Amino acid sequence: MDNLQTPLLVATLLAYVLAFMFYFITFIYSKESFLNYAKILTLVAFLFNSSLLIIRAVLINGLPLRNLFEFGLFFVWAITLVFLIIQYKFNLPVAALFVLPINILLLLFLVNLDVTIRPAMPALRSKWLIVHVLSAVLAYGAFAISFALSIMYLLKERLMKSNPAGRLAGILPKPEILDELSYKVIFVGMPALTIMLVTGAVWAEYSWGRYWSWDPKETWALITWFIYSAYLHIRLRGWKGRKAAILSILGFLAVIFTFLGVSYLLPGIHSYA
Amino acid sequence: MIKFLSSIQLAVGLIAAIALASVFATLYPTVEVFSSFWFRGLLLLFCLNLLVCTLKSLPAVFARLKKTPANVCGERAEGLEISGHQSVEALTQFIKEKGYKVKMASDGDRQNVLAQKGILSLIAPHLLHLALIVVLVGGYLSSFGVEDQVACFVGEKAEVPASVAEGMVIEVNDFQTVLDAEGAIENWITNFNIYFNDVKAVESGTTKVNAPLKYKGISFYQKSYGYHHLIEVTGEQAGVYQIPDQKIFKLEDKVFNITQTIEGPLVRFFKGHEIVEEKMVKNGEKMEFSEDTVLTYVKTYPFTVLAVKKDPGTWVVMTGFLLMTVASFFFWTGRYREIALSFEGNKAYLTVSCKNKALRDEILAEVRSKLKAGETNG
Ligand code: HEM
Repeated sequence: MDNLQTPLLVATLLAYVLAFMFYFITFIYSKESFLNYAKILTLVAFLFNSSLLIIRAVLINGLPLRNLFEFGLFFVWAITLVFLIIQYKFNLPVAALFVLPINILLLLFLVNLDVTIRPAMPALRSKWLIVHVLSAVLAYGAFAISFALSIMYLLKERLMKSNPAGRLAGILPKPEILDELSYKVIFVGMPALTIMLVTGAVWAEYSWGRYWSWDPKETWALITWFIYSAYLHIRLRGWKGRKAAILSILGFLAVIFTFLGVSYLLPGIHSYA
Repeated sequence: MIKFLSSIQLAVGLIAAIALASVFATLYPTVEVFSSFWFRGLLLLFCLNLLVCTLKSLPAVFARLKKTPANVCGERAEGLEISGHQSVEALTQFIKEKGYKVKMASDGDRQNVLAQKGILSLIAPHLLHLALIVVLVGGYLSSFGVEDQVACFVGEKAEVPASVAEGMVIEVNDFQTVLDAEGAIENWITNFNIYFNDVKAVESGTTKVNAPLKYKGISFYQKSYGYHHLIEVTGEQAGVYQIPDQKIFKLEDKVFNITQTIEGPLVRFFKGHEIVEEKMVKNGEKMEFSEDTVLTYVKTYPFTVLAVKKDPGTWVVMTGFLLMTVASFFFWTGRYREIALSFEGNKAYLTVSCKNKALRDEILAEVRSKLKAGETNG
């Protein structure tokens, strides 16, 4: 089963790429008949993605949430899950044009990582870790979707001014819909992010005897949480649309930086912190 | 002043300032930010902001919870024709089935109805803010906490640093590396007794990674471990030596070290940096070097290192965390919404309040169409 991993990972990536191409043809070349294939391909990709996670779960005899590769795989899975909900519940398949590239980029990064299974360190063998990482995956999935919706919002707003008759302007939903949906998704993601922060701190207390140590990873998670709480509060003051969209984009950049940047760009700091 | 302290503008400004300071701190780790005076000042102001803002908004929340049905036949209410008493009951039944808590009161000929749903999410932000205050207060108390560590050989006693606990001594009975079914390290476990003022207070307590032991507000965490090796040598350098794990030792012209492995102690001989020979040894095993030099491996001395901590803030912070989690779940229970109706003769007056406009319109349409349906039925 171990050697199924790489083929399945490649198949997942290819299925997301193909799905993206079909959505692209559907919307950019107005070939409505391609839409169903695009939707089926997304489901196939989601299925491959899920199978890979299940195989991994069986191999390690637990939830595959212990390293960057496993977390990344779950991240892509959660983004697709939230997208599927948006696609069906709010009839917004066009969001695929902005969501699937995130998945594809993440998977292109993941195929470079080592898939070898290694035993988990004692500190990682904790039930807190499971809640911690699952809530992170849910929050990050939601924020990725909100990011895509915010990009769509800014694009739509721009196109309405510069080229309102163009094709892209025509296929993007009304800005108010994008704005509202982006808010809804953040509203669901924020409590998950809160649970992620709390369970991480509780776990650290049990494991290291310190619930908060201002290490770069936890500090960046906190920064992310601050950005989204600012988002929710400025909306209470009636700031919508453009400003909110920019903050949501900033929030997701902080998510990506917490996920990847801290590990790769601030490597020396861990020994300080 | 109160107005400024409770404003969302200040909240957003403080959130931005704390976030920016944190970004700066991770980029320039050598600059002390988090323990600085000004950062603490920001946190204090943030805490005050939360407190004033929560105190100010709580009365309104309680008022909403205790609210009773009232006459809504004012200008804002929408007047709708209905027919007969039948539809009043049908409608309240319908609203109840939708999961609303319904209160009714009659006021002369007028029948007033108040239906509320999503009360938990009405409380959620205030509970979250309150929880944040608790966490910040706990964090402040934690700054009075102390932590240190105590190292102790198996079979021996060691004093817990007096800064953490005066008069406390631990005696380590055992230290074990526990393996899982696949042979990987699952945990490290220390079994120890605690003496407090020379009286045995804890008998055979254990601490391991992810499961600290707590006694009298002092927590013991499995932090580290190690080994010393006892060897006896005859010949020129005769004597008994206790050498730390992996420490290079010279005997005549030979250079070696001893490493504790999962299977047992391993002696490695070196030439320069290269290993020229390796050998597993058991207690009592002898190795001959030259004619009269014999090395006997006597025994292994394992030791454990426990972090010890006394922190009066931890339980406060944990309580805050629990409240934050509860509040998070409350947010997911659906938006607060309120339907108020007054029935007067064959007219019904309707208002719906909900922060989400789309949802409000949806509820209005639903109730309206139900009232109309009642008309045709009744
Ligand atoms: C990082 C810290 C904070 C977090 C995570 C947080 C979180 C939240 C959340 C999730 C909401 C609900 C938003 C919505 O309904 O769309 C909210 C509402 C609110 N927050 Fe905060 N908040 C924080 C700090 C503050 C501070 C310092 C203030 C002080 C002014 C404040 C004032 C408010 C007010 C007035 C509301 C509206 C409550 C209502 O619905 O009646 N928040 N907050």
